Amino acid sequence: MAVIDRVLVGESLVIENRPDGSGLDLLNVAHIDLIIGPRGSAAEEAFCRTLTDQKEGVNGLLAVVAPNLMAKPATVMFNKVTIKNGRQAVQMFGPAQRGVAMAVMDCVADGTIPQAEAEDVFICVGVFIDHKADIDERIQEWNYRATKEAIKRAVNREPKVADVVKTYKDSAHPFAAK
Amino acid sequence: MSILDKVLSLFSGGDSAPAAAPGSGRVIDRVLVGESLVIDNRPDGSGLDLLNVAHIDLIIGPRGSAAERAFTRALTTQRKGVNGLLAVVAPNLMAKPATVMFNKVTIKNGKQAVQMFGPAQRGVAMAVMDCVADGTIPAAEADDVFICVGVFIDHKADIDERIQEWNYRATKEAIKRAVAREPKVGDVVKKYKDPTVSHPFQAK
Repeated sequence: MAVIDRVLVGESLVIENRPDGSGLDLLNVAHIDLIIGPRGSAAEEAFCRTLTDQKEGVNGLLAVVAPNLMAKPATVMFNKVTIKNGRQAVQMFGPAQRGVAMAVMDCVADGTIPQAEAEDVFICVGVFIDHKADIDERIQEWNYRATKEAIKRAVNREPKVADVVKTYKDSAHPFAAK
Repeated sequence: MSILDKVLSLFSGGDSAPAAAPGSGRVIDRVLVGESLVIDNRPDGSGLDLLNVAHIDLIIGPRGSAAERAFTRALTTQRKGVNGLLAVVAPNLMAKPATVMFNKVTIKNGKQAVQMFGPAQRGVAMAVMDCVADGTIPAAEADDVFICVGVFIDHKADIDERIQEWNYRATKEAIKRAVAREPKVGDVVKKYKDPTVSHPFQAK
């Protein structure tokens, strides 16, 4: 029985305080929305569409560990905010891409994604990079951690609906209306 | 039709399209993904020629697959600065399998547009046909295969010969890798933490 036998959805946000202690580092926050699924599923369809459906300021790209070494399972990344400048584009094509690819491969190495299924699984990763992001190390490390966590949550079907039912009224959303 | 194929066809929803399902005995029997980057130093030795780098993301798959749907959409969903076009060896001689190219960076000026419609298009089409000629894509499957090629052309690219040659080499390599299912997941698992395998734009 395959582990990745259907479309699974995961999410993760990673953030810390600014290095100068002035509050949360919202400029470099990593927030991943992720879909993973097998060949023949809507995830394969979404993968092919995302990689080929380019728009000005919104680009799909294959996640590669390094050029000529794409991640397996095949993984497409796309930005969730419009790319407005060259620096932001390089942050997407550089630190974020590296972070996402390393997270995918860690999940294969540790068995979260069974190696035997890797050829038949497709991953779509939505990445948030603020157009004022300013610390490449954080972009890379936080997108790495968030992607890894999103994959693990997706495969584990987390959060469990019962947990969400239990906690949703106690939780606070940082951007909720005050 | 093998017994296994008959059993599998029971679960395929009775789709009558002549799709090459996994197990059909065809080489291009499913959606396959390939990637390749080709670069060299600048002619003046000032470092890597990032202006003319070729970086191909590629999908190839049979009739009835998501690759066919991506192909038809990519060719018909035109947007300002992002245009799909058929790869042609020369006008009136399109590549077979049918191949759509699209740019991965916004086309900002006329020179860049001509580089896409000229050198890059020629390079991609020649690579596809080389892969048919050498059997990587069986000629018998060519009418039932669709290829989508994402091309990167910097808006400051300045050497047409390099755009053509490097996109040719990168497309050919990406097709061969896709068909061979390379890189193998086991190889990526082995190499991905190797300090010598670094991403040129990763955080320092």
